[in-house]
Formats: sequence, C-alpha cells, structure tokens
Amino acid sequence: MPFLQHDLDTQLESLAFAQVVPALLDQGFFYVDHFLGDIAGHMVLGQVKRMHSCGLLNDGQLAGQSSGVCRRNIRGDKITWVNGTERGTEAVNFLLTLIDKLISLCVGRLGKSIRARSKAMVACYPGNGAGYVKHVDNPNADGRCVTCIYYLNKNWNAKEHGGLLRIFPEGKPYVADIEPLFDRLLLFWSDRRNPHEVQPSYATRYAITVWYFDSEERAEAKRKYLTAISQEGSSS
Amino acid sequence: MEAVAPGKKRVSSERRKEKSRDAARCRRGKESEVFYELSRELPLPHSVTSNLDKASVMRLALSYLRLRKLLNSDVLEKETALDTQWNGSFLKALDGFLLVLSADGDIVYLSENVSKCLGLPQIELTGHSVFEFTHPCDHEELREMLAHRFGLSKKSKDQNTNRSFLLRMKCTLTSRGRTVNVKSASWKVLRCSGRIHTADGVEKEVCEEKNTCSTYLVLICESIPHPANIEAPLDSRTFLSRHTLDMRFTYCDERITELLGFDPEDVLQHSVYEYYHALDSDHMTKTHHSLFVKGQVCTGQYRLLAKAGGFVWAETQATVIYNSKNSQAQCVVCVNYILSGIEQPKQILSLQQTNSTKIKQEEHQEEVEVTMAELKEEEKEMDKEDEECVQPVVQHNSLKGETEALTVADPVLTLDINITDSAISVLTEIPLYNDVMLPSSDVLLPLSPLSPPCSSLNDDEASTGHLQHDQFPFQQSSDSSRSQVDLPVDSELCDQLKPDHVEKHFSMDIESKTQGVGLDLEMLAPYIPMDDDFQLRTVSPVRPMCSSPCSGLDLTPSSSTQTSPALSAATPDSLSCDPVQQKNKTTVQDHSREIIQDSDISYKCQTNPKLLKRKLETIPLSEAIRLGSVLQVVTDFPEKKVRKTDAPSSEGIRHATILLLPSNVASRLLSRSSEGGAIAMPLPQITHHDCEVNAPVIGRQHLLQGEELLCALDLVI
Repeated sequence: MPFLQHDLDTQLESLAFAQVVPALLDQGFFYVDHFLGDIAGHMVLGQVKRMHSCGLLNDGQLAGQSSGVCRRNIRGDKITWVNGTERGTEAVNFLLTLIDKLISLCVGRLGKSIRARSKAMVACYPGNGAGYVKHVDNPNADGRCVTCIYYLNKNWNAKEHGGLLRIFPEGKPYVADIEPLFDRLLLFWSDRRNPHEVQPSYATRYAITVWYFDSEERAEAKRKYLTAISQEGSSS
Repeated sequence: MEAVAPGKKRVSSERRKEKSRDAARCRRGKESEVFYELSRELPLPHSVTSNLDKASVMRLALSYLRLRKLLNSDVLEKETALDTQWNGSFLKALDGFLLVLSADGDIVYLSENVSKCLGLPQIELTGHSVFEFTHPCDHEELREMLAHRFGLSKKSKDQNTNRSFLLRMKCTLTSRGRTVNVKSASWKVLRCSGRIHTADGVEKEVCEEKNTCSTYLVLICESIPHPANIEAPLDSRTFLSRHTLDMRFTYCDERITELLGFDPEDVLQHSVYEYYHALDSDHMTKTHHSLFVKGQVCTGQYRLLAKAGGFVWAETQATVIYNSKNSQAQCVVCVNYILSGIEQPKQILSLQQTNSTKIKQEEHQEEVEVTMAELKEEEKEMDKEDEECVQPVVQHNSLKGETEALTVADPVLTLDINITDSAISVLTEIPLYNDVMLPSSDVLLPLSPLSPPCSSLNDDEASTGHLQHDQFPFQQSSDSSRSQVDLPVDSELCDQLKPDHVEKHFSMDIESKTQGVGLDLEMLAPYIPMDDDFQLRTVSPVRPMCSSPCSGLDLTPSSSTQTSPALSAATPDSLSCDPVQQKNKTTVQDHSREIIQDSDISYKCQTNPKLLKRKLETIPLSEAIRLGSVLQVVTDFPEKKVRKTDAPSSEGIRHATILLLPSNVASRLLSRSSEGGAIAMPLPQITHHDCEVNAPVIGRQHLLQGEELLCALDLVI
C-alpha cells in the first residue's frame, strides 16, 4: 500500500514539475483534466449540489469595501466559504489536500513564498445569463498569488451553455477561453497579469475556487487592514 | 645642638609673625583715629562726616584747604545774625548754585542747592574734577575759561577775569521730578557767569612762581528755563517770539508794540538780525551758533532797535523746540527780556527806522554819557522799579495762569492761553486793534478775512505744514493699505494653488480610471475575508515513523479504495506517460486485476439468488477488466510472478477490502437502476440490505481520511 501512495505522489510531482511550473512561468496559466478522477469528482459534485439545494449559497461579494458589496450586474454567482472541516464537505477536503500538495511541490520552483491559502469558495452561476465582468483577482497587493479553480460541470457544452472563463493575458495579442468541464483544475497568477471574465452562463455552473497567498504580501495586507480597522474604531 | 636649633628658629618665627600682626593692627588703629579727627575738622554736619570713607575724607579736606586759601586772601569777619539770614536768602533767591573751580578744573566748592538744580549731591561733587560731570564737547571751551594770563595790566586784567559761557552738565532730574542714576543722566544747559580770583598780598611772589596754583574761577550757575516749564507768568517787560531755524519771525507777542513800537504783523517773516544793533551782530551770531550746538542759550545783554529810532537793552533766552516724533529741530522759542527804556530815541540806526521817524515816543534823555557799567547799574535799578509797578498785574495773571495750567496739559496751548490773556489785558487799552489782532494771535485758527496779508501768509505756511504733516500719515496709511492689499493677493495665490492641486488630483483620478488602475480594479476584484487564512500542511518526520506501523494495517483497506480514483484518473493518460511511469501503472493494473479476481471468488461462494442476479449485471465490467489484464499479463509475465511471491501474507486483509469495495459499486448501480425505475419488485429487500451495509461504510470513510493523512506523512518523508 505505501508503494501505491508513493506512486500517486510521484504523479503529482511529475505534473507539477513537468507541466504546471513551466506553464505558469511561460504563459501565466495552466489547466489539467481528470485531476481527481470520476469517483472522487462525483463525490465532490454531490456535496456541492447538496449545499446548493440546501440554500447555503449567497450572492458573491466585491472587495471594494471591507464588508463586501453585492453587485449582481458585475458578479452574478452565489457562493459559500468552506474549509473542509464542516459536515458534508469531506470530498471537498480531499480536493483541497491534493491541491495543497500540488502547490507545495511548485513553490520551490516558482520563486514564491507560499505558506497559506484562503478558504475554499464554492460558487454556482445559476444560469439566465449570470456571469462576472472582466476583473483582476488581486489588483492592489492583498496577498493573493495563485488562483486555483476546480470545475464540476458534467456534459457541459460551451456553445450552448456559455460560461467560458476568458483570460486576457497582459501584453499578449490573444485570449484564452477555458471551458468549465468536469474534473478540470485551472491555475493562474492572481495579479494583474491575468485579467479574466466569466461569460454569461445559461445553465447551472459549479466551481470551487481557492487562493494561495504570498506570505510577505499577505502579511503587509493584513497589517494595512488592521490599521484601517483601528482608525475606523478610533474615529467612531 | 642640631635638635635644639630648629625649635629656636620656629619660636623666633612665630614671635616675629605675632609682632608683625600687632604692629599692623596698631598702624591701622592710628590711621583710623587720624582720619576720624580729620573728618571732624571739616565744616560739615556730623551725620555726614561719620559716613565718609577715607578717600572721601581726603578729597573733602583738600578742597576745604583750598577754599580757606581762597577766602584767606580777604579779611575774615565773624558772621552776625544778619549775615546768616542773608546767606540763606541768597541761595534761595538764586535759581542755580555757586561753583568754585581750581585752575585744573577741580571742584573746590559747591553750594548745597546744586542738588535741586542738577540732582547731584554736594558731597559727591566736591573735590572731583568738573570734567567728569560736563559734556565732552564743552571741555575745550571750559579749559579756555579756566585759563588765565598773568602779568597783564590792571585794566586788562579786570576785563579778562570776567567769564560768561554756557555749560552742559549732567542732570539726574527728569521732567517728572524723579531722580535717575548718574549713568543715565541727561544734559542740562547752565548759564555760567563769574570771574577769576587770584591770591594777593604777601604770597604774590609765590604766585608768580606757581602760576596755576593761585587762581580760582568763581561762578554762578543758573539753569535756563524751558518754555514748556515756565511756571511764573511773564511780566509786562517781557515778550515771547517764535522763529524759524534761520531766525525769521513766525510769531510775536503783542507786548512788543508797547516796548518797541512795532506791530506784531510788521516783524513777521523778517529776520531778527534786522533788529539787532550792528555792533552786537557778531556776538549774536556766536550765540546763534551756540544755540544749535547746545539746544538752549542765553544771550548776554545786547541792543535791540526800536521802530522810530534808538534802541533798548535786551537779553533773550532761546530754546530749540524738537519734534517729539523724529527729534528734528522745528523752531526756536525766545523769551525776550527788555532791560531798559528806549535809548537815544532820535538816533537813526537803520534804514527801517527812517520810515517811522515821524512816530516818535518821547523819553527822558540823560544829559551825561555814562560808561557801560554805569548804564547796566541804572538798567537794573529801572527793572526793579518796573517790577514793583507791575506787581498787581502779575498777581492777577498768576491766578489765571495757574488755573489754566492745571486744566490744560499741552504746554503749547498753555503758552497760547497765557498769551491770549496778556494780549486781552494789553488790548483793553487799545480797542481799535482788537478785531484785527485776536485772530492772528491764534495761528491754528482758520483764515479770517479781517487778517492782513502777512498773517494770511503765515496761516498759509502753517496750513501747508499741517498738510505736509497730514500727508505723511496718509502716505503711511497708503503704504499699510498696500501691504494689506499684498497679503490678500498672496492668500489668493495660495487659494488658487489649492484648486490646482485638487484639479491635479482629480486629473490623476481620471487618468487612473482611464488606465483601469487602482480603485476601479479594486472595486471589481472578488472579495475574500481577511481574518481566515489556512496554513499549508507541514509534516514532522518523526510522527509518521511512529504512527505508521501501528495504524498501517488498520488503514490498509482505505488505501485500496483510494487506488480506484487514481486508476480512473491515470488510465486516459497512460499512453502519454514515460516508460517508467508506464511500468508503474502496469503494476497498479495487475494489482487491481487480482482484487477483481478475488471478488469474483467471494461472489461465487454465496448462494443467494438475488446476489446471483447482481453478479450477472456486473459480469460485463469484470469481463472487460479481465480482457485488459490478460493483454498486460502477456506483455509483463515475469513481473507478475515476482509480485505474487512477495505478497502472500497480506491476502487475508485484501479479501476484507474486496468485500467492501463491491458493495459500494453495487449500491451505486442499484441507485442508478432505481432512478430508471426498471426493477420494481426487489426494492424493499434491497433497501434493507443497503441500510445494513451503509453504516460501517460511513464510519470507515472517516477512517479513510485519517489513513490518507498518515500515507501523506509517509510519502513526504
């Protein structure tokens, strides 16, 4: 059995060194299909659908204010934050564990100091043209370094259902259209190198997003955040 | 011998010291006693002499000896009671003090009323050099006055011994009557008049040998009153006049008409030199010069021409009036004392007098021509007589003057008021001129149509000066207004800068928006909470070594379960993998084939018909797997044999795992069939069985996670 586990990690290591690192350094984004496999993928999808049916998802927020702002015309998804320890999120926890391993393997060669990540954002675009306008995940150094998105949409037809993730790489004359297909993991830099948008979706579109932090940038952002809070407190 | 010698020396030295101390003490005692006796000999009250130091005693003693020498040249007489009274009266009547100087300038004697005049005490000045207390610019003149040429004839000697000069001395009295320190004293102009005394008689020969030791200058020092401080009203024999700096009349008292015959308007804009006797011109010029050097001056006796002819003896006290703001000389105010009646009224002494020869005042002529000294004496007597005649008028004026002086603070106004009163009293005798003179008496009044051209010129000049004076504050105000205007301009510039700054900031905002930078992007960015960060899982190498052997066997089934998704994930990419990875995956597939074979065996053992049906349903999947495994076996036969020999001991555990895995697959297949609704008959029985199987599966899924962590720990090592 340990031999099998060793083999599994060998595959992750090979994926990281041979494909992920070169792609991020070269073009800034990369995606891999069949990341979990059908069985684990279906388990994750099942748990996500259960959250959706239970009404745990709320409108996605924008970072313009500290408390977050809802603007459906800008961002039309519904989300919830999970860390993998809640009941009914065991499969999501498995997913996060694998992504953590993958990122840990890449860190040494990306020239970044990544030691922490955000909670996982479970997101659903409910259709009817819901999308997210062109934006940058980290425009002002809030610490986000790498964005990881795992898609959970079976039998998705982009021409019929829309929902493409379109990346506008900085300084490049082309755009990258990525279909949100089942068991696909997408990675890209979170800063201004990768403005991107979610085109209008006309079917239910599920995804799980997690951000990995550059430790220095994140510490600085937290310090500013605490300073701002203390100032607001003092002013009030 | 050696031991005794030092002792003797010590004793002798101590005795000598003691003797020296006693001798010094004795000398000091004797010296003090001598000085005490000497101070008692001084002609001063005991209360004064008891406080003197030795230097002061010496200084005063020397002065006293000199004074005795001076007085000893005359016959000494005992003072009678009458003499004592006269002596006191002299000092009171004298508006000044008596000063005796040696040829070197040492103060031999001062009368005690010097303190009232200058504020300096008599004791402090006696014996000191007079040059310490006089203005440096007056030292040269003072030395000339002290010098005396010996050996001249009697007549020339008498003439040369007379001294009359102006001296500026330190004054510690302020205008308010307070006394200040000598260092901050001001200068006071003193009129000094007197003569030089020389020793006579027996010591004449000695004086010839020692010229400088035998002469003393005896002076009467009088202060010149400032026009602003005149307390007593002027008598009828005195008139006021005001002049420009070149001594042209700008104002004249009405009394001049009675005294000299002139109308006040006649002399305006005329120089006072036109009315000086030609023989006195040089003297008056020197006096004029001295006036501007020292600030105040008292002319000696000079001749002032009358209108119709002849002259009068006069003496004038002149004072320069300074502007209180810029301390520049503005005008000269003169108090003119007429000392005699008109002398030689028929004598024409200037061209101006020829025009008014018809208007002559008859005066008593003296038959005999007298010397100047005799003339002076007669003039003094006449002054006394005049004063006696005027006494009632003086008393009347004094009452009014005092009352008005108290009410009015401005000295100029005080003078004007006094003048007005005296003018009124004078003009009552001549009602014809009343209307004409009253307006001209007050220069500040506006122009009057009745006033003559001369007074109008005077008024114009005064008004011009007033305008000039007004222009200055106007210019100042204009300057201040300019500065005030400038400040708002600067503040306006500052205000303009701020809007520019705001505009720049706004343009920066616009630029940032156009570039899609800053707030705009931040507003569009997805929100993440700032407080919840999860650390990437780090592993300590010691823990997995300890825990893996203990829980490895228990968690083995979960690892076999994990292999399923790995297999499904890896299968599509098998063709694109490297040869090494292909071998690894081949071994994995072989392992999974063994598991499947075992599961088939377990199914065969059971005799339940329902389970048999399920077997039929799953046969196609197993057949497909078998075909794949057969192909791989053909290619990798030797590796397969090695695996079988290595893993015989763990077959039991693998069986347990196989039992669990098929049940999961079966439950999923059943759920799919239930969704399709194909089989309705076996549902109740199947549901019961699934319930029994699901409970342990859920529990073991938790265990799977735990094993997963441990496996991860092992792999990280």
